Amino acid sequence: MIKSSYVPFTCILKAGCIHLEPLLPSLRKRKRYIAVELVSAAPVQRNAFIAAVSQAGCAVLGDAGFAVCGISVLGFEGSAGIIKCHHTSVSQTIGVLAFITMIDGQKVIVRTAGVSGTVKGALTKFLQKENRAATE
Amino acid sequence: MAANNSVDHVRPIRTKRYFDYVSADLIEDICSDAAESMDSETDSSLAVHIGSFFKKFGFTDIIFFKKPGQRDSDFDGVYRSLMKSDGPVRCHNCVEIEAGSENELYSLIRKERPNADFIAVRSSDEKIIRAAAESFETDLIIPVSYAEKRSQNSGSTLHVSAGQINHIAAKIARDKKTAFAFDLYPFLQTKGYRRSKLFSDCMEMIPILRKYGVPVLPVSGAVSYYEARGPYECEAFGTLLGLSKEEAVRGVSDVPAEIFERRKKQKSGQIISSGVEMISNERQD
Repeated sequence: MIKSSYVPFTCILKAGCIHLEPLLPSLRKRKRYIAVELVSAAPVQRNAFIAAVSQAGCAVLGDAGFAVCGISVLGFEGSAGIIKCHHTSVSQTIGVLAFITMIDGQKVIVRTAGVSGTVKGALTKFLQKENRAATE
Repeated sequence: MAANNSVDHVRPIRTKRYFDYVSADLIEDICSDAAESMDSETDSSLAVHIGSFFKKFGFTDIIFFKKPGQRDSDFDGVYRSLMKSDGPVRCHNCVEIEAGSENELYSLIRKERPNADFIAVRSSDEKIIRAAAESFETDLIIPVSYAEKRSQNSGSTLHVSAGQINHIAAKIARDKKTAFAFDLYPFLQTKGYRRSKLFSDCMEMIPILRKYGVPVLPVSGAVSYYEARGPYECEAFGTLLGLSKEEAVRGVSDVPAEIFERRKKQKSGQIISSGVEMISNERQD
């Protein structure tokens, strides 16, 4: 059993796993949520979109650069989605999205609708009502 | 003290213009895409459709470039009605010159200047870039050239090459108020080593241009429908090249607007020659 004095932070022991307390809000990385719209002839699958974003990210920024930006697809459905990134790397993330030309063998345009500090803001301000279920 | 509850001050309306530089061939691509969904295909309705396409991206002004001596296509009527119309997006015509020598460049500029809102010179040759910078009539210099090369084994490939500039060319460009433009199109058409080489060549030019105060325009340079990008993407492309956020925003909006206003003044006769501008025509006896 791990003694509490050996663990640097206050831990809760549950079934043998150590659960660290969540980071303080001031210590967390600030995020931005980019609302995107996809222009394509046929609908695109979520997994294909995620793969295209990571592929373009690694190609343009390199693996280390992609990791620094903290890019991840939060949700995607139909032709709209939300992409999360660190607040310092918004322009790099939009730049990566501009380099996506093909998904699943069909030509696409990834259009940036807007950038918000919250998921709710990105949904209500930039994405249409029918696409609100994207992140749910 | 009386509390002033009524907020009667009016905020100034921000009217920022966003420019993009695209090929006139894009018109044909958009029109053929629209033909499937539209009932009536008149030139004016197609022009409105093209305007709304760019408006959706967030642009207010589009610069359509053509090569000198480019043959009229089936959609030339749409192009003409786009230039005339006051639709959702203002359209400007531009001639993109690719010359083999300085003399050819100067003669093409002289020939095309009266009919064009913008004159752009695309070349990766240092001599041509220097000659374009020296001309007062040049608005944009694109130091990246590309040509489609067809081989029997691997089909057609885009051969891209970026030029080099030195401090002399940069100084001249600043004095003549010529801007440098970098388009996304060759970056989308290349992959791997070629794209990284293109990135590094363009990134080398940015600090020199910044040092001498030469404006830089990040543009899409789209040739077909799926290569069109929005102002956000163009700005982001500029920051990837090494521009600061402010420089990229200025390059998409303010710099082309300034060039356009200067040329408008020149056409109206307000600018007499290089550096000589008529501010007021009132006589003081």
